[in-house]
Amino acid sequence: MTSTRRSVLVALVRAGGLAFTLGRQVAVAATSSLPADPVVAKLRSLVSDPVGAHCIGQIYLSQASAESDPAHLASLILSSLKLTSQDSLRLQRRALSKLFGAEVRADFAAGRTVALNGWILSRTEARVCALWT
Amino acid sequence: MIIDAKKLAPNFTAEAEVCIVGAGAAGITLARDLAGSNRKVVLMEGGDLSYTPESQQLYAGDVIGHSSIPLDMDRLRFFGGTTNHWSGSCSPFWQSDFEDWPFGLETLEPYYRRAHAICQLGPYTYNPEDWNMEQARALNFPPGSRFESGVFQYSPPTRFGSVYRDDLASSSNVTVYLNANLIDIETAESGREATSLQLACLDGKRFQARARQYVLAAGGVENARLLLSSSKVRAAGLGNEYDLVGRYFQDHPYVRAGGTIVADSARPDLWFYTQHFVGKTQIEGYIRATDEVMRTEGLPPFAIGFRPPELLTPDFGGFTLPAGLRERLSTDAANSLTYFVQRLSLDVESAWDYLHYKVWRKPPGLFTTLYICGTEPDPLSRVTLGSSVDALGMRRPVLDWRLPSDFEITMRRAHELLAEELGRMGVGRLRLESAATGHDPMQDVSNGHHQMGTTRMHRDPRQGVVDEHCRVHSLANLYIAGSSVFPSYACDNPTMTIVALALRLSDHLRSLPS
Repeated sequence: MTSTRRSVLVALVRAGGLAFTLGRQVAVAATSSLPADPVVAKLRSLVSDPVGAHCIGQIYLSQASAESDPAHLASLILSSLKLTSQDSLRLQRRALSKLFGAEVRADFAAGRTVALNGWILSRTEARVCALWT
Repeated sequence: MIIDAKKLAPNFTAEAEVCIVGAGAAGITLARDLAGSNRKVVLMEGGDLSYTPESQQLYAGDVIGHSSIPLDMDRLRFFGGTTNHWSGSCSPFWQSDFEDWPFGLETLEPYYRRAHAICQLGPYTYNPEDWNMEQARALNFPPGSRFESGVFQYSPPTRFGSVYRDDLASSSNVTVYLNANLIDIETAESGREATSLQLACLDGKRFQARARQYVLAAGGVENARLLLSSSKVRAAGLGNEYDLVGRYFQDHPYVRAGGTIVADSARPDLWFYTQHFVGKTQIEGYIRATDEVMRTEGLPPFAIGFRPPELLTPDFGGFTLPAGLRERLSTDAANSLTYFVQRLSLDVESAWDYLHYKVWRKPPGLFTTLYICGTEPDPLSRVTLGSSVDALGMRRPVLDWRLPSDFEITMRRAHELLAEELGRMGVGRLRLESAATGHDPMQDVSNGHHQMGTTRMHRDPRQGVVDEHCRVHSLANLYIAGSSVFPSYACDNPTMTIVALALRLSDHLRSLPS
């Protein structure tokens, strides 16, 4: 296993096995400044490890440059979650996480996946990661 | 009784009702099952009781087509045959694996049960739920899922030569001849009946065997080689009226680390898909596509198992040091030394993995995949005779192993589908490895040491060398035992099926007039 490959793996593991659980307090991201948009901030909180998310998000945006605007990304994510901005802010993180998890699974069931450096990921989770770039 | 053929009188003739050639899993099972019957049996083994480089050299041949390890490293030529370095993996074929066979799973099922005891396996159940334990549970694939779980059981592994030697030595109706290499199958002028076997020792001694029935149980390459070489009456070789002998060769391609899996830390159950013990039985779960998905996606039968992270190389151990020393130090090829060192390192890895589990009692969460499949039978994938000869004057085999042109596509598609399924179930994520990710799994496609298909079984002599009783279509008294009769290959280690088929053949031979 090359060091590059291992580092990506470690990043992914630190992202909570890509489970996006809310068990841990999100640390201050070394890779990104705090967003002004509260919706973006709320959606970013779905990820437990910003470093891993940043890594994944960068690869995603290299393939989907049209989604590089955080506000646009957030609207795409909310659309897939069938939520409005107000809904997302009103929901507790646990409830939001539950919706998010269900959408990720639905993505996989429907084949709405992206291949990022070989990883087969849900499009929705890749977009959330991209919010950390 | 066990006799060293080198000590026989000149021009000796061994006479019996049944003469078996090859003392591997098939030959020993057959001889042992006939022990105690009213039939005199002789079992001819080309090697000695233990490994000798001179005998092993008789397996050498050329490998063209897809790379495979050298033929004289693939199989072992001494009493017990290739079970002497068998990994021990066992499972019956699935019902759908028998689609190309003249009979179904229900025919072989009672023989599988008997084979289970011979291979010293655990309880005869391959229902994954029966092997669940706290830290290793089969995934609960929901209804409509594209995948299901299967189970391999591991034999200790049974070294047939060691475990069953005393049974044969003490039998009153079975005689084993060591160092007895078959060099020609003689037939009547009609070519429709075998009349005797010509045998030779490496010291130059010649002798023969006469029997009512003959059984070739010499291995997938050797069975074909022996038929093709016996060309005095039939120029194309015995059983080769339709140019089928040697064709349809297949081995199980193994792709290591075709995928990397990060498991959700809350899902320790994936350990089920690695080699582990449940009680006293070592098992390994695997994931396969459902029959419907295989049909609709055009996928071959495949199994995907998981491997914990490895220190040195994406491979697995299990090759014991003594066996490695015996095998590798017996040859002087530089690549043999490399191979030996590699295998030794794999043993170290296995020990590491075992300790990891024993000390921490928890799965690592990171896995690489091990993909094994049974490809479509291909007549161009074949064994032929080369121009060089061995120490006995026999033409050496040439192996042209071919993988289907869509092999990589189907392997990757199987991983893609699994990635989607693992994501759908919230189990984890899978990375498809490729040159772009730093590990191209296609650079490491190895063979499972399973030589199959070269004397395939079919009711129609135009499509198979042997009939449903494993008798060569064109000869009244010549039978084939072993995986060379497989008309399709499933994705399981063939040994248990070889043993089951040998038991079935034994029943058939017993049913013939004495």
